[in-house]
Amino acid sequence: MVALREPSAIVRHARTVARRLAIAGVGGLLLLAIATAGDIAMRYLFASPIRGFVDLAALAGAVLLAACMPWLLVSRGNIAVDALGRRLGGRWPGRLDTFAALITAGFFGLMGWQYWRFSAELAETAQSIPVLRWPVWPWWAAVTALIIVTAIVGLVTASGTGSLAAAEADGAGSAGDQTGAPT
Amino acid sequence: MTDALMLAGLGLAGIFVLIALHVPVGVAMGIAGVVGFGFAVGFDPAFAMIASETSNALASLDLATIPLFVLMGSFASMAGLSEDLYRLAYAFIGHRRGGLALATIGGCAGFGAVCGSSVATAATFGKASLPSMLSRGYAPGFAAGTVASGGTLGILIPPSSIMVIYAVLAQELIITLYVAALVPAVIAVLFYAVAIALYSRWRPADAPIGPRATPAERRAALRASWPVVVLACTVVGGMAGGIFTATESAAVGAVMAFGFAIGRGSLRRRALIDAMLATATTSAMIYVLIIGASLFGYFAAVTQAPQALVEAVQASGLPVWVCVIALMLLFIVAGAIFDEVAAMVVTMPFVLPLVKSWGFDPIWWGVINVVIIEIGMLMPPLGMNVFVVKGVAPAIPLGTIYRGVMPYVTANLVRLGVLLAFPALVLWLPQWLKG
Repeated sequence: MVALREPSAIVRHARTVARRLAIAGVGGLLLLAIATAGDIAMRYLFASPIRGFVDLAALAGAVLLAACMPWLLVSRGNIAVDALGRRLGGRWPGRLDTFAALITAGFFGLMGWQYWRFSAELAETAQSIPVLRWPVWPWWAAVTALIIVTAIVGLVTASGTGSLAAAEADGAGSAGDQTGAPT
Repeated sequence: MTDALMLAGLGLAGIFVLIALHVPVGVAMGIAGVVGFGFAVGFDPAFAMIASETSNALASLDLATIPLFVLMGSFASMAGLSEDLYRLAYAFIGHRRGGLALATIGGCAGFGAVCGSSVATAATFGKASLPSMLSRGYAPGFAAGTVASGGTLGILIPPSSIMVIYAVLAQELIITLYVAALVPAVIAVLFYAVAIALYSRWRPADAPIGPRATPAERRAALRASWPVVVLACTVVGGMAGGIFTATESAAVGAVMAFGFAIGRGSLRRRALIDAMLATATTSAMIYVLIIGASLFGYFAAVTQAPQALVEAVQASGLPVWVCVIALMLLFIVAGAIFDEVAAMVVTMPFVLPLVKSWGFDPIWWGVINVVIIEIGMLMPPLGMNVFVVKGVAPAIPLGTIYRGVMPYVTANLVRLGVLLAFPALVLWLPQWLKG
């Protein structure tokens, strides 16, 4: 049995940040749902929906969902197939998991870089929400920041992924050859 | 083979290599899409596509229904609505042979209308009905198989997260897909009931008769179940009746379920945080899958590989029904290697143009896809619902649960055959509602 290493302070800190962001993100979604119910009530009862709510909800939704991304990497919730590592045995599950975690962090890093450029372009062209005329770029800048946090959290926690996978392969076990089916 | 086709093939191969190396399916598709697009068109537009394409997914109001429906299911479960449903069904049909199994299927169908997840439905009823069936002398395999199979109704009966994914990727209306799934869902429940009746007649000792509920118990069960009836009618009825959009319906459902959980005093801090974290994981995972699929889909479209595949299949002269069966087998094999939903997402850029070229309605294909996923969730080696029930009842061996789901898998295969033979069963209701 491979013993799990105690996570370092930075890993613990990254997990805490990811957890808090996820709770804030889903809490925000619940508030958004309440606001949506209010918008429907205003529409049907007073024929007066909240002005520009739909556009605002779409942008707020993007920020709130981006806040859930770091937790996805910490909780290892992505759909992945670990059949090869299990078949190879030994240290391979851990090595492959670390490799996958680094690739995933790199992918989010690339996304963060592109979102940075995207937000800057929106700021330069002064794009705004159609009805309210509010600038769009701050929302996407928030998404950018959260995607970059995801990449950093992914990078920091990648080091712990290997020992966790090795422990699982060694007996802690999982349900099958895949993780995180969205069903 | 043209260079573009070769590139698309390499992209697909790249996805499988990355998946084999433990890279998450969504990330693998995203990387293959960006790199492929980079080679086909240039790396500057490929990088720019990352933000332009994925921002559409992140800000999509259609996709926002997924986290809201997940939240609704979590709150409904917390409020104990699943137990109410089971008690209601048990009070009215529990005294018949196989009655507890029927009550479980009925409860799962009802819970499916307030929860878009098959795994959550199976896990919830694993706690709500499995102990009751076992204590009444049901065979463990049959009881566990009933819960695992009943759970699959969660993704067929609206609201369903899988259908949202399909609708967004196929660019179809979520509401049309939900309406189209209603008749197949009724057929699914009926076929499951027939499977239970036949099985309990064949093996009466596996499904003994329970005690008959008194009229007072029935009235109490009816009184207790009003919240779930109101919730299901508001969510599904509001959408089908055109009162709400899919997103609004999900928002209203989440708020109502939250209200029921508070009203019943079942909203504990710990459970709430767990539900929020589970919602974050599920939602983010689906978004990563869709982000990857949209990046790869964009690349596939640029290579024109889907059109080339359509032309090649048409030139082969193979009868359509042979091709459809081949596609079913492809999904079952792909589902055994990774996950049925991932298989649907990975193959969508190629399969959907094929299906359209045969003159089939994408809405019909969406429902067929969900039925295939339902079957995959019960089949070895990766029957996800079987593993969920195993997690709830670790004392029941995996092989016993797999044997227990077989009557239901048979019912599902017959249902698949019926829906393939009679597409009108899927399409008539949405067409009738459109007028």
